[in-house]
Amino acid sequence: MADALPEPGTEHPGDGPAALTIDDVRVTYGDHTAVAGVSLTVAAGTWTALIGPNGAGKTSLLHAITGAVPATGQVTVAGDDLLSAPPRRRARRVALVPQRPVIPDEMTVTDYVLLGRTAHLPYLGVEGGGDLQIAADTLARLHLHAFAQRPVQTLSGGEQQRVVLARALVQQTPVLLLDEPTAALDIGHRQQVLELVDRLRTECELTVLAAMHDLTMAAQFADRFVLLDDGGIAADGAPAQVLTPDRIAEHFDADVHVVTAPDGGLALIPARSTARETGR
Amino acid sequence: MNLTAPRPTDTRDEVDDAVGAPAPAARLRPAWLAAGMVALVAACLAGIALGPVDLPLSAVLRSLADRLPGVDVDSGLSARDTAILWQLRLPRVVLGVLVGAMLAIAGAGYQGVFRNPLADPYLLGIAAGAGVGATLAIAYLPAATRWWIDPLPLAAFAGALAGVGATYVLSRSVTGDRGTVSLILAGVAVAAFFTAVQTFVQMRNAESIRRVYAWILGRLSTTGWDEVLLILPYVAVSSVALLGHRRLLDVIGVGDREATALGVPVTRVRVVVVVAASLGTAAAVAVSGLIGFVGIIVPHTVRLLAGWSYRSILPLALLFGGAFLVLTDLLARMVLAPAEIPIGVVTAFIGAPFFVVVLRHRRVGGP
Repeated sequence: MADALPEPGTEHPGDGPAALTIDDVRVTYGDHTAVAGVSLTVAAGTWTALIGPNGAGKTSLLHAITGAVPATGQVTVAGDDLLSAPPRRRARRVALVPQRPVIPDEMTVTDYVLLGRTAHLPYLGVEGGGDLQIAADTLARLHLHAFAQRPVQTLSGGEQQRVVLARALVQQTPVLLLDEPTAALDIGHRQQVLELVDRLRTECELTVLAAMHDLTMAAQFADRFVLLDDGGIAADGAPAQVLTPDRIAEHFDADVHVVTAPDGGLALIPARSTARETGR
Repeated sequence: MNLTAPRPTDTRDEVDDAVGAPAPAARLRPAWLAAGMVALVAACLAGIALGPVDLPLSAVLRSLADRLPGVDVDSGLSARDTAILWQLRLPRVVLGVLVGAMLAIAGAGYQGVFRNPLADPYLLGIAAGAGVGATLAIAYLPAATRWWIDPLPLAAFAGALAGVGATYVLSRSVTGDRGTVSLILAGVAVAAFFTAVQTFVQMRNAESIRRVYAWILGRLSTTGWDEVLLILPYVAVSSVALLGHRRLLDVIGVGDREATALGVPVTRVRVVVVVAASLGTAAAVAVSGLIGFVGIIVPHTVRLLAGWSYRSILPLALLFGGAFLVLTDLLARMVLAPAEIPIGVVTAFIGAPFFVVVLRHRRVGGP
């Protein structure tokens, strides 16, 4: 599948020790294969963007890592095979910020964030003072402490996204998975949330694996792009190596210009005229 | 991940004024716990004192105290009144507490684990299974006087367990799915089948219809303590198991996938909660027949009053469920005295309009 590996000699981002190793992971729903044997090694402390068209298998791969969908293969974090580990141990290795989190009515910010402590409690246990302190510290760190006793549903979209991020942080995992973390946000809040994730990645020594739709923004934050299509890895490398007009056309069925922004980053510009001429 | 890492200086000020740990809202407020206990005690005293023969409350209390070890007081009750108190009223009230508490906490457990506000203790084929068991016992077993113990509750209990078991096996075998929809659909299919069996048996044994019908409508009439002793262990074990899962039911509120990612063994929790709630419900149905709506009215009222968290809902459903059924039973005894209305008729009379209120009230619907 990996027909477009970077040329030999180019620097591969994040050659440090692996924080997350995915080996031949497969996810099938009945007859449909959503993830067809993906293998991937993510270096500690890096930000890897999972990109690809709708239905490429990004969300299924993230769900497979968290155990939310049945999968075969191996996923290793800190020497533990997550796919055979019990949920509690798995949830102390990887935390997920879901694409569309379910937020129960009336649940307050503190209570919602404390859900993230589940994996650190005994099976039938309840939170102790230490858990409350961790939740309070995390809320303060994310500038959410003023909302601690407010129902999550009464907050704005950007604030809610930070609350969900706080829930993942109190899981105290080395690996943070994000599934389209900014899909519901405007451009300003997208930037703020991604900057926050980047800051936390450094401060908390996190390894980030994020499914991202906004390729321009992904290019500004991720060290590495992994392009999924049809359940397999179609390309893998630095953003500049993966983001080419040909590849975007092939896998996303989109016509774009890839330009270099004034600050040196990459930007994708949709090109409508070409699409009309080719009759798409 | 290290959350005690040095914070960047630009956030220092804001962090410093908010480091104290806020108390989580999701806990049982002592005021509600006290209210539940008061309601339960008041309902019990009313249920004991009121009836065709009114027993003076002070005498009742003295008679109760007299039974305590080391206490010796004269209750002032006649021998007949003492017999009414200890062999009729008290067992009936205690049975009402146990059945009401069980149905209410089982309803709350089902609603939490299926994330469905209308889930009911009789879901999953329990009611239909118990109905078949009771009908078979009434139609084919010799009269109860020839037995050492009344076979009717045992048959209903076995039928209820058969109903739940059939529902579970069917849902697993049809789809192999772990979801809740297949379980509930299987419950509908099992209920339809068992009801058909029950109707067939009834048609073949027309003389038993009246007894079957009376049993289905539910009643708490007892003589002595047999029924109480029969269900007490089930209610105790089942309630403790359900209460133990109060936090996990809150976590499951975010959905199976997220709960799994948070570290909850969702399938195991669901099986344990359903088995506990079903065992307790089957025991309650076995001694009291089908008393509807308690498992919906009580948890929803508690939810409206004391909040969304199962940490409040489960213990309060236990207390208010017991109080509710004792008071309902009092109504059933008193309204047409000396005749008794089946208690299931009373709960349905209150419950059906309440059901509409629940449907109209968006807050309890959840996502």
